[in-house]
Amino acid sequence: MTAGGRGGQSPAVFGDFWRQAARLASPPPHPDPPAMAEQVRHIALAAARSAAVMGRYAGDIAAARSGVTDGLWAQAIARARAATALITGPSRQEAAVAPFPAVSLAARLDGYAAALTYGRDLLHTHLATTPDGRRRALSDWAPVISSAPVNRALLAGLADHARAIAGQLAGLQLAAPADPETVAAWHRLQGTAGQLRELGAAVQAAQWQAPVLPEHRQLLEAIPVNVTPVVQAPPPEASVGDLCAGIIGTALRANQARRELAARAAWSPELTADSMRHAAASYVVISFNAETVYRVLAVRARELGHHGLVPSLEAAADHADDNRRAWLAVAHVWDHMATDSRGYLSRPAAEAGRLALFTGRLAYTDPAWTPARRPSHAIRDAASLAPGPAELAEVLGAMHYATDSLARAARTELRTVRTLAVAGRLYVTTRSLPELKYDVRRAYANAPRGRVADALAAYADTANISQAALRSAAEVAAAVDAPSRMLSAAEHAMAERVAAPRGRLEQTLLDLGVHDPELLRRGAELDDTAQRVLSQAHRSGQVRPQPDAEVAPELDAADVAAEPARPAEAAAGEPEIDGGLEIGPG
Amino acid sequence: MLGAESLPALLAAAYCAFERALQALRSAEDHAGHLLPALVLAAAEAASGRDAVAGARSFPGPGAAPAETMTSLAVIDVADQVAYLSLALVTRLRAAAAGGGGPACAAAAAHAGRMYELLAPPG
Repeated sequence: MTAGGRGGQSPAVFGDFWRQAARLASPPPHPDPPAMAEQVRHIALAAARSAAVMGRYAGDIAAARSGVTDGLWAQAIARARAATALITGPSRQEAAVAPFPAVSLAARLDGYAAALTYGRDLLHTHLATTPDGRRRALSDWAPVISSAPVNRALLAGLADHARAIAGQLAGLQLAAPADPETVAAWHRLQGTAGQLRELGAAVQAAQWQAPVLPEHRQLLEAIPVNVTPVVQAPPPEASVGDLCAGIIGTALRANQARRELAARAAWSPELTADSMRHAAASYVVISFNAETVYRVLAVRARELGHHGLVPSLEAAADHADDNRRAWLAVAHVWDHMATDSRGYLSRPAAEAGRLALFTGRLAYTDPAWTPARRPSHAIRDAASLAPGPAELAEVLGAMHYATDSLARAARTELRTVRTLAVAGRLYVTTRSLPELKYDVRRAYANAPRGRVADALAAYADTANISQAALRSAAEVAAAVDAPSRMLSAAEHAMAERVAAPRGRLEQTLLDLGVHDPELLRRGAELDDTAQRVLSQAHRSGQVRPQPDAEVAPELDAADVAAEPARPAEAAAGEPEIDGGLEIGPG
Repeated sequence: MLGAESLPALLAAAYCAFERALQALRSAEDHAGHLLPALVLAAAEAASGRDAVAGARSFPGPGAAPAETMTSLAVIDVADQVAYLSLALVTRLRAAAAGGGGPACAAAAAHAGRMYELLAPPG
């Protein structure tokens, strides 16, 4: 998921440290010479440091509570923790000795421990620990880091290292003559080698149950340090490469900003109807521009002789058009819906506006393109957009990021609107209420339940359509081996972990203590069907909610629990004219 | 419509004008072609401008919704008409803000200004 490309700067990735650690764990081309007393002490200390860091990783994997808790993998984690604890236990009283002599086994092991530590620090930039000891995500990579495939890849890598180190410790010769204390230390090192071999064997056995795929190892190595890309506005002289890098950076910023704001949706005054409107309108523009870019690229693919790519590009353009219509429906929701705060444009909305600008500059010839009415809206020449296959891949990678951002937006904003509704922060214009034909003084009423359900249905629809567009964008990016392929790998890794959000029936089964996978699967299927029927009913316009009826589609049950501030105020069946609402600065 | 003499009357007229602009922009979206980005973003500004007006202390209330009298116009004509309406809104609301109309008038004027920037005829 790194930016890369002509105009981008790649942040540090986990692989930078992981590969360094793997290199240091590997045996050197020539065997180490027999060890003297001091060297044995050094090696013991460095091996213990290495094992301590391995143990911290194993602890992190256990804390992630991902699918690695099942079967042989769970045993492998337990074995890894036990082995590393046994190694580090006796060495705690050893005095710190550093630096170790260069080009020695001790120095390599010490370097290995340091590289692993830096890598772990990098992973932890995506996570925070709450005062009650729970993990809190700080980025979109956090669920990837906690996913079963990535944790299995991590453990498998540690096992590779453990086996390599064990082999070197086992082959270590003692220089004669050796005093009894050194001989005892050497024996302890052999014990360490045994523990590391057992760790390796336990993970190897687990791999029989669920093998670690090469793409998951690649995904692990691709995890970047969690830094916010700098705010960018496209200069008029921006090249296609600059624009692609700008799209990626802006998409990442938008994702981060949305996730942070969604966590405060129940109370934050930043979350305004103005922001939701502006964001939805910008997503319409981004989809509109994406369609244009994909159609131009289809032309270019034909010119370059990549005829096999043309249908996928045309399909991606069609999906972008579907996305545009879906986001337009969301924009319409906000025509007559308001929030209890106003007059503030949130950071996600501002980033969405910038993404619209970047994609427009890519799609159109005018280097100063803006969404405003202009004398010319000439579409960019296909050959200037993608002179060759490398540039084609670069542009497709950037569009993959833009489409991914829209899919994330739909999912996040669906949760956000649900939280707003639960917190009683949604209102509608009284003029939009068919029940109120007469003249009313108040401009707003609490949002009736049916209107909230309609809004949620529009967002849910858009989430589905955006996901389809994302699949299409991912497919075409993968076909040209675009650098964005890690987005898809991350999505797949998380999909393995996620069975949630759970529907009502599935949750009831779990509450009843049912753990039969087949029963739970059938329950989840029935929940899905029920939600689809309910959404369809809302979209058909046939819904006439009764005052006490529970009619809103449960579109994301996991997020309903998000800190309700003023529960159910907005859920009144009959519209209620708000008596004391003070909206905004007027 | 915007020749209203008192602040409440101006706010009521501005509320109706933003609503009308929103309706007109929405009605033109389906055949907007390359004007779609301008129309969609201007519609968002129209809704926010209306909400800003409704937040003014002197706002007398929206009144009953007027009967829909939509005439089918070419997209370019819709853009032109809403642009001119926006310009009128900017002028009147800025003047009202300067005359003690409060920050709501200034905010509504800003929304109208952005509508005008998006929809004004080029050149």
